[in-house]
Amino acid sequence: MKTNSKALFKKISEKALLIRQKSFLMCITAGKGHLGGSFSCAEILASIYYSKLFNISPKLMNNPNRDRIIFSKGHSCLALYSILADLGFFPMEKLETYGQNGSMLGGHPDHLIPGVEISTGSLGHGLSIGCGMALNAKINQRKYKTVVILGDGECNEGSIWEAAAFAAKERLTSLTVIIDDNKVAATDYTKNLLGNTLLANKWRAFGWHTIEIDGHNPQEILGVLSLKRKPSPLAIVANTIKGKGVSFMENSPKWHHGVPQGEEIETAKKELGLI
Amino acid sequence: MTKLKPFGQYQDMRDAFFEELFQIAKQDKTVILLVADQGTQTLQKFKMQLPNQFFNIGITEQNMVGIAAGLALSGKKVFIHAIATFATLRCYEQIKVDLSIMNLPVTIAAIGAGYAYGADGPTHHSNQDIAIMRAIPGIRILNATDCINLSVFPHICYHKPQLSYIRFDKGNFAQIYKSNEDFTKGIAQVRQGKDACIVSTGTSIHKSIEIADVLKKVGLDIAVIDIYQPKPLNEKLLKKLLTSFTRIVTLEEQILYGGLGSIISDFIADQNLNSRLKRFGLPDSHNFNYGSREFMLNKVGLGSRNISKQILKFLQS
Repeated sequence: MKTNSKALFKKISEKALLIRQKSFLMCITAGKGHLGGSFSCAEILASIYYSKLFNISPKLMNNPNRDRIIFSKGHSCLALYSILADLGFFPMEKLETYGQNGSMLGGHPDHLIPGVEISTGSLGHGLSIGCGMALNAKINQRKYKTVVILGDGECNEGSIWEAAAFAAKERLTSLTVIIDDNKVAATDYTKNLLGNTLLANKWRAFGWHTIEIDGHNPQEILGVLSLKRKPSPLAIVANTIKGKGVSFMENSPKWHHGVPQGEEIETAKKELGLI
Repeated sequence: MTKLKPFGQYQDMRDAFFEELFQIAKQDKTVILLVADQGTQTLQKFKMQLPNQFFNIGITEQNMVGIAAGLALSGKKVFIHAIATFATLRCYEQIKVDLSIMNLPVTIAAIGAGYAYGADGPTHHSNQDIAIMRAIPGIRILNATDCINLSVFPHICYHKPQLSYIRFDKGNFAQIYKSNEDFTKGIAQVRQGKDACIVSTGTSIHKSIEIADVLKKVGLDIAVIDIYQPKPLNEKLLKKLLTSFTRIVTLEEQILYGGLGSIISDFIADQNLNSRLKRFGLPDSHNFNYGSREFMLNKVGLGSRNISKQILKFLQS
């Protein structure tokens, strides 16, 4: 399937819906989870994992030439777990164990889970690790790509900007950052936490080739991921909506880690096509 | 078993570590050294001769640990270097999350143990690094005593990969060890004695020997034990060495919370040893005096004469 085909865009949108459905069911069954951020990055993740733009599959897990996907905003792991199960990294039934004693799927993803490259959960770590992987590709002239998915709240962390400067200085052209810019952190809108300096301007100022897109539009996501690379790392600022897909959850800090109850569950199920 | 032998002999601790690492790196392209704006002559050699294995990544210790993790996950054998207090406290969470949780065999090589940068003020004193680093699961801590054991440490970390923290001083110190010593033991009795023993670590061994000399003049025969690998502790050897002593003294250039004195205190309690313990270390404060190491130590009551007097009292009590 070509990356600019309508059929692929449709498939990605369908997979994004599947991600939201699975994430929602895991969250209400377990009584915990971060739905808002899982919903905002659904199209981004679906575009990465289902487009064939990246060399990822359960068969390539330990292959040194595989592409590396670093899910730095680890709290949104319900979305990631849904994809990895769907792709066969582990059995789909494992999703049902989320939140239960002894489950291999925790509230934040660890590197012991098949398909998860690194343990994340503490914010601000993934980009430096991604830089190390991309630096290794540069040193050894390997062709693999490294993609790091960050949250916009996560970009408050100083370590992100240490890594951003390093990547630009070393011209890590195999490195891509996608910022799930849903504009909401755990307690408030990110503009109320550290101001509303345009994220894209910051990445540009740090020497990254920076492009803003609609993070829920597969065509735009795939378009930017397919671009011919400039001699610098690529930052994609994906404008997204926290809680996207369920009307009462959209754009509200309440649904960073809120769990729907009672009538909310029914409404959400209807909107997600579960009933 | 691979022989863990250094290539050369050195008069400066930095040279001892980096020259040996350079020789290792020359033979193995997967060895990478990252530094956070640190410079010595040997590092220039790395830069000129091994440009694909040496990266000065600027003053970004947190980033340095993360990059090290990414490189290690890609199969590289990574050493990182900064001043001790910055290489530990500044990026402590990165060490926990990026290295320890993922069990990556990165070596953190830090200069400026204790009061090595005494006159540079409390921001540069590394007085709690042993305490905090020993709380990192799965880490190995190596503390340099002289240029000999330090020159073997990079070989240990290269041939026996494990997340490691090497701390060393700057300049030269009297030679304690012979180059054929087996430094995988982690502990050595560097002076024999029967009346009591001083247990110390790293360059505080030199002061411990000085104190043993002072006490010899009043007829006391004091042993000195060097725990150059405070973690993991060679419990079997330590028990063997400590069993004959009813009075044990610890000496360190660390705040007493969690450092070597705590390690020995824990050990005595856990092993149910019948010994009394007296701990000497830095007080629970920051030292705003500026001067030589001896001056600084005197200001906090860790001058050799004062400690000798207190040990004498302890042994007479």
